[in-house]
Amino acid sequence: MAKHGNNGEDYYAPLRRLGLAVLILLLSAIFLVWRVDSPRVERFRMAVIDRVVPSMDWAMAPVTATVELFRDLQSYRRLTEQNTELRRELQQMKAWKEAALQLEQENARLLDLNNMRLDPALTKISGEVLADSGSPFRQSVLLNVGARDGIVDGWATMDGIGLVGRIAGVGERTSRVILLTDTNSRVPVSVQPSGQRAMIVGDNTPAPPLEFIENSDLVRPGDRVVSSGDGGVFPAGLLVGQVAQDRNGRLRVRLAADYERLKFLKVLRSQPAEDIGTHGGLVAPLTSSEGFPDAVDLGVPVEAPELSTGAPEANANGG
Amino acid sequence: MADSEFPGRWVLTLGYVTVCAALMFTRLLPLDSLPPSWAGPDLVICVTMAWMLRRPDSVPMIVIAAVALMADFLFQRPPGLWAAITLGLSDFLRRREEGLRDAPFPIEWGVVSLAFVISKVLYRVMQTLFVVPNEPLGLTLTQIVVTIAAYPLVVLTLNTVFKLRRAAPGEVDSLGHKR
Repeated sequence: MAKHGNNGEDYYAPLRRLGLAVLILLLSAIFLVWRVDSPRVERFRMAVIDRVVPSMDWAMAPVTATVELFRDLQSYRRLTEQNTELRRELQQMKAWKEAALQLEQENARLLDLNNMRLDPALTKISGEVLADSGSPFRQSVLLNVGARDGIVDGWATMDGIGLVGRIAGVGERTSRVILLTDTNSRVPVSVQPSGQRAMIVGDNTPAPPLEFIENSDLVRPGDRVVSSGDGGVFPAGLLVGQVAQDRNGRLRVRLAADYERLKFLKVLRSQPAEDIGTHGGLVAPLTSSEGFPDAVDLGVPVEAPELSTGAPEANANGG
Repeated sequence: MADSEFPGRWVLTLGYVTVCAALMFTRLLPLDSLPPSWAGPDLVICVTMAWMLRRPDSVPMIVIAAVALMADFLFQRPPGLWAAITLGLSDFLRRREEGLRDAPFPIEWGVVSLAFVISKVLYRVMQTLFVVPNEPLGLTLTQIVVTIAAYPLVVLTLNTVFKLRRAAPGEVDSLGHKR
């Protein structure tokens, strides 16, 4: 078919057309068979590929290797580009790491809220921070617990770690917490281990100063600051923070509570402070009439030596 | 088929088969396994079209059909469909070859481009008719554009390597036969 000689091109033209028709019909038939009975033709295709492609393998492997080699060379040229790219990615990774750390801290804080051990006389009400003060001059947050949850003005508020402030203003469903950093906040504390009494006076800075220290020589940066319970408002012994010294040599408190992210707060239900009304009730040794039970108690150890002396005898008898 | 009147003819046929095999081989190289966002040129059809307009006597239909069918099998296309279309396209060009001998290259390029676009459209229509999933339209379009753009380069390369050029009107081969 497809003869294309000098002699009789016109003669061969119909033959060529016939050949073309036959070939196209054949190819179309292959297509139709494939369409009708695809698996069989696909198996045939796989057989063809199986025959053809591995026979090219001897050439394919080196060519592929060469092309890969050139690509590697190109990638060497792109080294600076890749470097900046990697640096950018590293930056993103840092952001993710930060997020992970924050989540870890939040998790720890929540766990802490659940497991915190306090004076069993203290019970707590947990609340979520709804809003902050909205003013740069007022340091307070709004909690989603209020009078219907039994919140009372003046109660201490903590996050998982340290004291945050006290309740100042209770609504039906919300309550406001005035933070230790607010200028209206005054909290009596004691500095451990020296036991010095002082006041934390909020001054609208992240680290409120310690005022009215009895003997500031005994207070060192790094000392623990806990609430003292003076005045009967706060329970004693709540962690407030650590002593730190600012540039001017003034002692301040680095608060333990995470003020950057106040989210879940705990309102401590304070027991009313016990009042000692009388002055003269001497807590003396018990009267002599009550001393007899002591004598009775003493009688038991008296009997014990007898028993113990009996035991060696029994041993002696046995021996 | 064993015409001995033009010795270079079978050499050229062999050259055509070799070129197509090499093109298929490069397409099969395991260099990229990611799905591409644009399609490369269909160089086999480019070579076929260019060859057909230069030395139609050296590429008999049966060779074109065999090469195209093999390409269909290797490239996981529906076997036979694109081969049949290629065959029809090549015969269309074979019949136009004599008329295009004295046409400037842009006209040849236009004819080839039009024929290729029609072939592609026909291919997609047939696939749709036979409920064969079509390729993404974007890939087809980029392939058409890139293939048409590649055609002059293919012509230039074939001209350089195989000394393939269009016959001048009335040109005869070494034995005085009309080409």
